[in-house]
Amino acid sequence: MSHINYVGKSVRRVEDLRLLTGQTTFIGDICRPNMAFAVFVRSTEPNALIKSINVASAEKAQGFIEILTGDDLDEDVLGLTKKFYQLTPEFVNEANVFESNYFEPILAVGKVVHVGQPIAVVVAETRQCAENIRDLVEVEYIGQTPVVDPEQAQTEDSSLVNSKLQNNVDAGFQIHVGDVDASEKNADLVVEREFYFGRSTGSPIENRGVVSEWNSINSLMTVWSTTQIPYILRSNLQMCLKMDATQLEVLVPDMGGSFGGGIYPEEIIIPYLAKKLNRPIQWLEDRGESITNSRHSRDQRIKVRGGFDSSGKILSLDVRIVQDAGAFNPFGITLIHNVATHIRSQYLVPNFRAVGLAVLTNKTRNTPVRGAGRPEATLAIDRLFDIAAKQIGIDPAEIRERNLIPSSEIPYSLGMLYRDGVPAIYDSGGFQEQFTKLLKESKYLEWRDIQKQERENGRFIGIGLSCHVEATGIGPTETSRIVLEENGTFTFFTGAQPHGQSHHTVISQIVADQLGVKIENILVKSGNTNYLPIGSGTFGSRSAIVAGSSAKLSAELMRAKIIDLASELLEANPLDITFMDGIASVNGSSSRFLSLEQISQRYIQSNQTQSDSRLLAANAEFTPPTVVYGSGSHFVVLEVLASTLAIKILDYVSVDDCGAMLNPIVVDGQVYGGVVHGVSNSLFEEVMYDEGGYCSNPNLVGYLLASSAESPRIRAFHLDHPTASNPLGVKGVGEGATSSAPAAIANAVSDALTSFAVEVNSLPITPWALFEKISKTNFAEAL
Amino acid sequence: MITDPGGVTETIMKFAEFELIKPKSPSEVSRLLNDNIDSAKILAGGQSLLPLMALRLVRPALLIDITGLDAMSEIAVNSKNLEIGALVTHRQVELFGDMPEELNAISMGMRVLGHIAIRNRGTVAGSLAHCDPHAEWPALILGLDGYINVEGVNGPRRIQGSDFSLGWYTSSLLPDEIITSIGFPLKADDGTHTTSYMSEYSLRHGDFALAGVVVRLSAVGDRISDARCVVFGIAATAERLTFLEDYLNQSNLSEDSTRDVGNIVKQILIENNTHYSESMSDSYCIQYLIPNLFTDGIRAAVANLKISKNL
Amino acid sequence: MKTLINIHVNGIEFSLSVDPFITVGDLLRENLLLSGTRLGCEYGSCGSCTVLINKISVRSCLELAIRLDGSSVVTVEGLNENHLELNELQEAFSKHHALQCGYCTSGMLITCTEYLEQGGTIDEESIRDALSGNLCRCTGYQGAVDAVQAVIRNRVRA
Repeated sequence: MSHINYVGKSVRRVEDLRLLTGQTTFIGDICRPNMAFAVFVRSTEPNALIKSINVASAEKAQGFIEILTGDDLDEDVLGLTKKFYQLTPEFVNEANVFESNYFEPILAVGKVVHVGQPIAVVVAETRQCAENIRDLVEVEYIGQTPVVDPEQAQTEDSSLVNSKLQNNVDAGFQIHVGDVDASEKNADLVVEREFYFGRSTGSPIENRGVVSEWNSINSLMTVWSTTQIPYILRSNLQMCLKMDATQLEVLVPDMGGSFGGGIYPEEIIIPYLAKKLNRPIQWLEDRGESITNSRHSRDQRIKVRGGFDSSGKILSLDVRIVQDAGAFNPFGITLIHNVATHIRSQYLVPNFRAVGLAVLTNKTRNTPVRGAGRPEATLAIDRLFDIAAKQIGIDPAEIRERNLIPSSEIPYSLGMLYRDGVPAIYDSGGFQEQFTKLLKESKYLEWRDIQKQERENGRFIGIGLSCHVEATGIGPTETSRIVLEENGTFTFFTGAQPHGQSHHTVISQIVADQLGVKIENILVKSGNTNYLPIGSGTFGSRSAIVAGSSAKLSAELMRAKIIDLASELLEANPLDITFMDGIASVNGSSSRFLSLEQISQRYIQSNQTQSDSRLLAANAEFTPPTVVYGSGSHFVVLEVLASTLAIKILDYVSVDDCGAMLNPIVVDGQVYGGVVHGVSNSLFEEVMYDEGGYCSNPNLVGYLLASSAESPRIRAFHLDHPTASNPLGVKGVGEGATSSAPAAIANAVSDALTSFAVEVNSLPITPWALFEKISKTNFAEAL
Repeated sequence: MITDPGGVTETIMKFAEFELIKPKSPSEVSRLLNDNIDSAKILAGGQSLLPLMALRLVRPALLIDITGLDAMSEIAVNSKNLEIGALVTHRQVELFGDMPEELNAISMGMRVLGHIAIRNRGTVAGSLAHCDPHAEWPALILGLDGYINVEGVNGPRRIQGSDFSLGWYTSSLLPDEIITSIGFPLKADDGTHTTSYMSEYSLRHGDFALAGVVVRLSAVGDRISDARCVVFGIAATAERLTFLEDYLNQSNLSEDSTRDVGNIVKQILIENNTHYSESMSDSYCIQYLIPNLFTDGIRAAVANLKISKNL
Repeated sequence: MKTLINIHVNGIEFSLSVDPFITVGDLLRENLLLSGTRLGCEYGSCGSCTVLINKISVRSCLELAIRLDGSSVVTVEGLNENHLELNELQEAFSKHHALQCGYCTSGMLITCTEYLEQGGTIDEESIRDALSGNLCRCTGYQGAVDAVQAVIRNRVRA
């Protein structure tokens, strides 16, 4: 029995003291002796042959140390080729998957395929010198027609982004559940629409960075990087630099957010340079590079056909997804398939077909960013329901109530395999209950009355609903290790890679509860590939589930070991030992007990040569059987201001189910942050490429993030339908809110202007885009 | 969204090297400007200039720091005018407690200009000299009939607000001239009531405006007089809409009388639409936003006047 | 050409020789090793570099160190005398989960400190208005608003 004290409470974060007092280390704070600085020369062309790179003046400049181009790398540095997952043969078969090989050169060789692609790297004594020198590098291109539109990219006469492929379709899949065609024939209503979610970028407040140092005496390469996946980075370094894992350590300092990513060429070349020049090297991304060159996402066009009966029950859903994948696609079908697995959401859709294509274009690569395809999917399904509801003449809440999967159907099978090869089954959830709660807490019916009244006063108030699911906690395995220190405290090593999600706090809570000790006596460490034999990192809302479960298991194991050891030392039966509040005592005796400190020291004394660890330690791993489904139902009421067509959110309510809440305020924080990310995507964010393939808004003046003034106050509620799939009963919650906010907003704006038949099927939505829609109607007269 | 024309991946964050000098008098500034035409820039608050330098869009070899000049940090108001020294920050203006009612538009403008940290440093003169067509001050100086006192190697002169902005980032300052103060005349205390109003729209709070309006109205009895209506953000400089001003000068303080403002504005702007660009956001500005901003602005100004006249 | 400047940073006098083109942000981070001030964009758009100069908030990436002769600077490290403890505002930030990754936090604390010093009001709109120059991607801002409101409420009570 453990002394439960922390899990389930809004425990104050252990991370806060150092972050609030500026006593922390981010990548830009790392300073190594004799450190040099790197900057990248990047392509200014979307699709071109490199005619020449003239480095003559650069080499003579003040502070110059080195410049390398793709040709210089030769066979010393191999390109990136690893994809992020393995697909099982069953899955490939069922989903008719085809995927091309992935190859991304570290520095461009011979040609460039997107604006921003690194062509050369300059190393200099200071960052200012490096920037000066970069100006002196002259690159000559022979421009070719760029591919900028994923539909046009599929035509016969389009240029090829990847000359090794026959066409620009890099990856795709097809699935069919039930019989869509037969079902559609019986439908009373078929609604067909196309939805588009504009290209955005992750845009954390901290830019990326890499620092690398080669210790030639120990043959050890230390790489600090703003990566979510340190172990995966290490294996890529092994491959690309032909090094052994024993020569590599990847360290992750505190990170200022991330929201998605992958492995980047910069993470490979900077270590290479550190070894070649035998000097530590720092590279810090600047904001323009961040916007144009990292973490692009969304940019999926989704065509749907929904078949409904006359009461609004959905019978079939036929979906075609086209993703603008950019010039490289290490994530294969991940994002398009995420759309397919999430688009049916909380709704019972018995017949379902989806075709997805990831199409190459001459743009920065498209990668999973918070939501990873689910915002696009949720936009499509929730808009479809609102449109169908209007055509049938029922309220959007009513059509959802008719279609939400009843609790009696849970666990609910989607009739297809998830990307990990396991049948996709909603393991837990109470969708009806969640929705009912949403309508109650949001005061939905009252708002409908207010909406009607205020229309008489010339105000355009709109209400939007959205229900999403979120498959979370995908494998692979996470390991963990806990060690009992000499002084009786614990050190805990996790493979989770926090970048704001409070992992250290939450893991401390789990471990402290298991061991019945105070949370102050747990020190969690992460971000170092030396800590654990294997690991993956943090992505896809998995860390509470996978790393958290691993933590529980290793803490349980440690508890058992302590009790065993104490029973030996106290010469008692293990069943007679009580271990609580850091003391192991023999039941019924007030004199026979040991503190953790004593236990630890006794262990050390008796264990001089025997075990592999001087200190008492326990390791455990957790491999999730498959994903588990979190869910959320969201409501937004907003006003389209008549004078400007600006959108003003009046209230935002969410009801989310992430199973057991390990730390409620942390969960709320994920919901608030996720909603605002979604709001920002919906109203402000778009990376804009023109027809020439050039990015026209590479700065924060043109690429807009929601500030506090544009962000709503969110009233967040929770349900708890725990999953049986992991020892904590938790489901992920980091990305779900981002999936529903855009759908809810698109629905609400459409609802506000419904009498003008305005449909918001494309995001972001701006006042001028709304104007274009309403200028074709009698809106002006209605004012 | 405001895009960066021709922006590629040129993203450079450390300044190129430069020298800095801190003169003690306006004449010294002018001399330095004259001796370093094309390679020197004035540094006041730095909130417009330094971002451009960070992106290496401008690379002056010499910065002339004018924050050492005496007696330019004051705002002074008397019965004739309001004078703002060249080093006065937007924040000082925002917090100025004695803003005359007729210059209300200035107070309204300060609340939406950038963010507090920017307003703390950015100067009125700096913003004016920068001549960004999406900025508030060039529109305010035109709408409120302001003037700009400048000094160059040939001595001081006064530039009328209407003559100051010539185009995108181009003012009528001669290369050796520095702004020493900005002034707004006040209407004589002769029974005329005057009020002004400013509003703009931007996607986010504090961003440069997509477009905006400045309105100043006077009333003699219940007749509107001396109307000044300025639109900014849709052309290379802020502009007066004289047709609208004429219409208002024929109107009185009844709601009915100024009812057609929106339509009139729309008509003027559409008729002149070759003057403005054709992007989606500009159609929206011309056909919807600006007519509405004027409608709301004039309604508010009229209501204000009625109150002050106890009508 | 380097110039000698005398500045007061977090209560300590410094005499430093600086080039004209060094920003205050660079000075704090590189010369004084005060890395708590963060550089998120280096052209004034994100707010994470905000510090107090002579008690008012300024973007340290948009101010030249050479102009600070005789000035007093407060950074996040100087908000509390004992940097192993939290002041009232920092405590409220922690309690209300106003930070997640912490990168924008330094700038936010500075802006909030100024807001509170200048008698900022408790209404949500004014607080959000004041914070609108500090971009955050993690928290959605709600925790920061709650924290400031809590501090104001406490001070009224006191």
